[in-house]
Amino acid sequence: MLTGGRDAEFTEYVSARLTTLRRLAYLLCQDWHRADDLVQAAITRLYVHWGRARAVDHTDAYARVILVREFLSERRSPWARRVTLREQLPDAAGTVTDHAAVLDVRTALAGLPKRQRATLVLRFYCDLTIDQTAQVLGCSAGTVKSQTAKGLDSLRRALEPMGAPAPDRGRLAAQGRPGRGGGE
Amino acid sequence: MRVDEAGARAVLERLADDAPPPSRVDIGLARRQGRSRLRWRRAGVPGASALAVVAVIAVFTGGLIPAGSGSSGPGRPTASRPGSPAVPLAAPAVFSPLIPYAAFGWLPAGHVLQIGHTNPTADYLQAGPKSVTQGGDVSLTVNSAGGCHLSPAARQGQRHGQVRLICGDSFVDTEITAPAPAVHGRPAFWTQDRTQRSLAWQYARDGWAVLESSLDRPDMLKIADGARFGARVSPAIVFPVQLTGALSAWRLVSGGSSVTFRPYRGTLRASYWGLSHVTAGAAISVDLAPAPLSVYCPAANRVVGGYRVSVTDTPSQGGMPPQHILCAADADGLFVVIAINGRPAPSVTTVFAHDTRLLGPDPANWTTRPLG
Repeated sequence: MLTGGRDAEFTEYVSARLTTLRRLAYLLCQDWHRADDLVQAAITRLYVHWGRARAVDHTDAYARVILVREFLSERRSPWARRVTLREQLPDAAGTVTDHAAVLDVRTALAGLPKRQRATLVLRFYCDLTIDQTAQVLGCSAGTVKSQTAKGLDSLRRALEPMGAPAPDRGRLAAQGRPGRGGGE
Repeated sequence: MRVDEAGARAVLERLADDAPPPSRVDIGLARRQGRSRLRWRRAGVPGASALAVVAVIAVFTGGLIPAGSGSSGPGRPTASRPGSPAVPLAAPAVFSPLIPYAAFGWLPAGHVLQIGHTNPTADYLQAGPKSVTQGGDVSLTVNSAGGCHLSPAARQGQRHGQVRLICGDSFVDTEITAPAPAVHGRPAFWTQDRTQRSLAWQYARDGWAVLESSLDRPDMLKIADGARFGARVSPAIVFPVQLTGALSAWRLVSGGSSVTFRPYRGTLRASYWGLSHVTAGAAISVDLAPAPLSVYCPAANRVVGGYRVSVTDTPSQGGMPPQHILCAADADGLFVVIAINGRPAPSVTTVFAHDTRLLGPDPANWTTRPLG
């Protein structure tokens, strides 16, 4: 096995995590093409900071922070950071289960502001606690709670049939417990 | 669907179940671009990371001409001396950041030089298909004398007897896997990490060149064979902007930062470069207006020197010096970004209004002297 050396270690790590990073990016932006751009930009930054990334206890968490912040800064920053990838697209298109429900879900999620979307993805897909989510997003725990409540409310309005009773938003947002698996 | 926490999980999991298309993510490209950014970050000036932000802009520049100086077409030998590339006896101790020390000769049909970086200790050229403006699959790194050394394996987990080629300034650290045919009579080796093959050879005494590519070995050998080295194998880089006044006393690309250039109408057009002075640094990024869609200024918030510009001021925070960025979307046909970091440092608006000579979009008016 080829080990040692910055490049080999980096390549090995990214190869092993690529699927996870792509899925996370896809949930953030709902577009595989953009997701790949996002991952490309994130792993380039990861390479630059690889010395620090491999030294921390949770390299995965470090990579996730880079990816999420890359996503959040994509349009917030006045300086375009988008990376232009090779123009040729892969020949074989992937199979996508575009049934109506998935489209509804995608549309609902896409309708959320970026920070709300990132908050929900980190809390309920990555299973991060409120504090962990706040750390990734670089904001306070209170902000995570309010973003979670707003995000759930927006999803609810988009996906639930008219007239469905809304649960207690404040209670949901304030729970602050990790989801399944208890986070990292 | 009921959307509480469990519902949100279900929503996200359902989305995540979408079968992904084949990945377009290119780990080799990330490494190459990461290495380029590391070179920029080594500017050794305050706010180097801020310079890197501007540097990102600099990669989005257009204009492609055939590799080398523009006189040779892709897939053809060099126009000046076909089959007889420059082969220096000894590598120089330092390179000029104003003139690339290397040039491609032969490239596969359809490939062109896309971008290059020069700095005192390592030059970098990237080529790729003409239709792709970024992310070429051929990169050549040339190191100045003493920039690389062969090192027996020392790290844990490596096989006994492994030898690595390590070039600190160009961030090359790769395992030598097999001898390669000599290039112009000098030793050459194949090196390999998980996804990227490279060819390393001594282009001169005490100087190593490393060619990274996904091409097959015969093509890589042809590229290496055709590569030319020397102070006269490439035209000088030309700058569409010249800085005068206070900044003219600053140092260009000190401490290992780079001048980034792109081929344009038979010239090598500087698109990004850095300056430093004691505790301050500056980065200049220039493109032709209108800039590519992927690059844009924030909305103009003032007029400086008769041009509508945006100025972004970031106060000192977290130990980082204050940073001031001026962006002009169209100043005499040029898209110009000037970033100044550090304290004390001249005002970016003063520099733009009084100490920046805009030379327009015509290469005939550009200069080889970035500091007047």
